[in-house]
Amino acid sequence: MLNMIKLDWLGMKVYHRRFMIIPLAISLYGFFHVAVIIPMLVYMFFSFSVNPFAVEEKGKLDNLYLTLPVTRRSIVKARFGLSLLMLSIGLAAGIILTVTLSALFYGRTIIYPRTFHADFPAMLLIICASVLFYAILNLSTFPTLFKLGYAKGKLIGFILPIGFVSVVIAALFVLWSAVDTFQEWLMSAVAWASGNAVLVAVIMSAASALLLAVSYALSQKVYAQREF
Amino acid sequence: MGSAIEIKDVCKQYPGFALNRVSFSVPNGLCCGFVGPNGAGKTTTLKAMLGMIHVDRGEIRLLNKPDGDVTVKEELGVMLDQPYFQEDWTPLDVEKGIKPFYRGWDGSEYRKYLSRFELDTNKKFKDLSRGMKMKLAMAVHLSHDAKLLLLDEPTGGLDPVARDEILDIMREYMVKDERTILFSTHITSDLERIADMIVYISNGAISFCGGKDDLVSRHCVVRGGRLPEEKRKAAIGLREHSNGYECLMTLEDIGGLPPDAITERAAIDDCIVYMERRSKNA
Repeated sequence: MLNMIKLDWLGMKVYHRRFMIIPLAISLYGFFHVAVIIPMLVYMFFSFSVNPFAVEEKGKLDNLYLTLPVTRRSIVKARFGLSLLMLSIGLAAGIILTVTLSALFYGRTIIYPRTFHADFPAMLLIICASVLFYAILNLSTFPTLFKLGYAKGKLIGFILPIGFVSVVIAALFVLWSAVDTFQEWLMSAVAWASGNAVLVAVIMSAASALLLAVSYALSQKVYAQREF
Repeated sequence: MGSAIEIKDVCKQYPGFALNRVSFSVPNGLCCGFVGPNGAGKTTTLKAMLGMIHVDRGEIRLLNKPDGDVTVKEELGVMLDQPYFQEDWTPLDVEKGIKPFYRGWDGSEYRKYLSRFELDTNKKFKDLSRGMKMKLAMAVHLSHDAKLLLLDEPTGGLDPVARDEILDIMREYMVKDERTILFSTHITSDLERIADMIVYISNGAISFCGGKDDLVSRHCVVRGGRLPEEKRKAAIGLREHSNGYECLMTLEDIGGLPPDAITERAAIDDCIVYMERRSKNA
């Protein structure tokens, strides 16, 4: 599987230089709130893990794989492996940055000057929520791209889910700033979650594992049937 | 002599096209030309051999290994249309990516071929000419000691010099024992030069499979003023014009032709042209 992951990585060579966007993006997200650095990094690294699909049709990466002594199962496994590796990198970088910024500036930013303490319950919840976010994106993206390929599947398999997530986030921001009761409700929900951080984390982790398992099983099924 | 390729009764249905009980075998150590008109099923058959499409029924064995056994691909060299290397890969990236999948990979042999084929190790794949791309693919196949090459129109779109070079590489590849090539082509002179046997496919069905010399020696070109009605069925690729007719016939069928009929020894080119004409008229 490691060789397949390496080949996936090499296959998206044309996208490698886009990794340079990450420091810029982190700085931008950091202006809003330190707490969004982890989910946004997870999102960015997730987007990078979709790149092998993007190159597969132009460069016929799948056709290359099918001429090599590897099974279709191992191709799917490797692409999930690469994606989980990207998730781990995003999480690790995000945790280091969040903890550091929280320690240095008490989590205050230019746009959001209130303090944020990256204590254990807060970090646990942010990490688990980010992984759940990743799992939802993975389920809405990977099986479709494995079935249809990037050219045919990117609209329903990538652009629409990303667009939907963006709309939800924008709606939350609007509600946060326009509706006082929503702000109160959200804060009390966050407070409750912080008080029951382990329970909430377990529930979110279980949900993430379930979504990823479904995504993996679906991807294996559709890719086994795909024709090139 | 065992068979490098054995295909039995392979069927695959698409809307408007079907592979219909495709069966043929290619013995080890032979170079086989796979010919037929566009859309006849050559690429579909090659894809079926590689598991890129799922056949409805039938059996495919490559190098004596059953369908679905991916370990056979360690001994295959494949090129469909053009090599599937990424545009930004250099020949060194190709090695980095491909090498781990082949236990028999010989890095020094690869570099030897790159230098012999005058391939710049730092040049991106997208900047190589089609001929150079083909040579790069051949360098890869030769470096992991592939026992069977499956090539889809390896000389298509090449200038005569590049075509000659690719044919030379294929010929050289065949020098070692137990190496087999199946290559599709529309260029009959390629068949004359390197094929030992020919498989002809038309409308998704195999209409000839045998030695190159068998194809030529079993057929002749017939020309004459008027073809008798009872002989029309035996005429392959019949063309009628104001002065008479011309067609291909097997030697068994030429008995009973009128005295004005002229028979000539068929060349491979004639056989392919008339067979293609028959498939178009069908």
